[in-house]
Amino acid sequence: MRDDELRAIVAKADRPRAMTADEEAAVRNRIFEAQPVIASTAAREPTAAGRSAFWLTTAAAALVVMAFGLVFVNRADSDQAALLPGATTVPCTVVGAELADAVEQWGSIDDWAIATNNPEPDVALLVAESLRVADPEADSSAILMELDAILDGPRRSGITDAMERADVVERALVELADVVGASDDSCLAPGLVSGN
Amino acid sequence: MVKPQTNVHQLGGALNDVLGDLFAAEGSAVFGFLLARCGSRDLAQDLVAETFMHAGDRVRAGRGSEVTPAWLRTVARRRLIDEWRRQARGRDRFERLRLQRSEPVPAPDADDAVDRALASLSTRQRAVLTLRYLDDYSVTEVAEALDLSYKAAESLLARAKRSFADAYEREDPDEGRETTNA
Repeated sequence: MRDDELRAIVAKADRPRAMTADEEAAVRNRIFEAQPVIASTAAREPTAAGRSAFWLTTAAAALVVMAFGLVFVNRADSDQAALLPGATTVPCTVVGAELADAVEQWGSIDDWAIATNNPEPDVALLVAESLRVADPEADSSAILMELDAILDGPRRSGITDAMERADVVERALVELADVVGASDDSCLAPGLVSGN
Repeated sequence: MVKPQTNVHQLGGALNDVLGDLFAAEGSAVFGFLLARCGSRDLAQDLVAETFMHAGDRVRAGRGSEVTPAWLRTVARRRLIDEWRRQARGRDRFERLRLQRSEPVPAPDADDAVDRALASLSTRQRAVLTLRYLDDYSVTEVAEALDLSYKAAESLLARAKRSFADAYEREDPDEGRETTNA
């Protein structure tokens, strides 16, 4: 069968298809259930009281993050040789923010590491370590391999939209955290899952 | 721009209206687009939902004008490619769980020879065949999308073409002969 014949035949499959009523209802539910939650955070114009509350919350969150970072770096210092010999640690707050930027700008930690001359293992180490905190039995090398695949995936799959890349990585990390038994996203390095 | 007094629920309602209209206009097309490529109604439904949720993000960000039928198909295709890549990456524990629910099954409305012939292919064969012949990807682009070497993609594509042609002629000998002799 010639290529043009094959193309013409396969093209017949590419046509609109109706969903059953149940299927359509399920899809609609998924789409619209997601909207109000996001809308409630995206739509509001801040009032004066809201702004005060925002800054108070931000300050409190920053304190928590700093405390978490100190504990986390200490822990990573003691264990890092076992994970990646020679790697140095950086505060997880920095990692979270830089990783979010990296995902948005380059879509992959490899590109980020090359562009900024940052040692990639630092990031992977911290993420793996934070996941290991969630599940002490987890295999660090397996986690590192999975992280590598997650972070590299969006770039290789040809996603050119920066926000979409960040979205893919974010969802994958949340799923990964779920698999290793993290009770909530806070078990990951701060800023990593939230992406900001 | 949303006015300060705008009620959150009003805004959510407006967004839902926009999304509802968009889904009513393009839902079947995007579903058909995905079903032709993956052959699994369950997976196609998941990806339709993800695609329209992403469209919702765009609308909310004030970039609703970017959400065209072509944009929806591009997002849907990317989601599907991600899914194929995840399926191929068997070492991911969480993806293995997803794989279980997204095993390709012949679509109930596979009532013509093309659908049945496509349903007879493996997921990988279907992926390369549809990327190449429905989405006009070059072999290099197919290889890159599915994380294969050029040679592996070329070889997989050759096998997929052979399998499809055999299955298609089995399914509909008249059409197969007609096309082959054309």
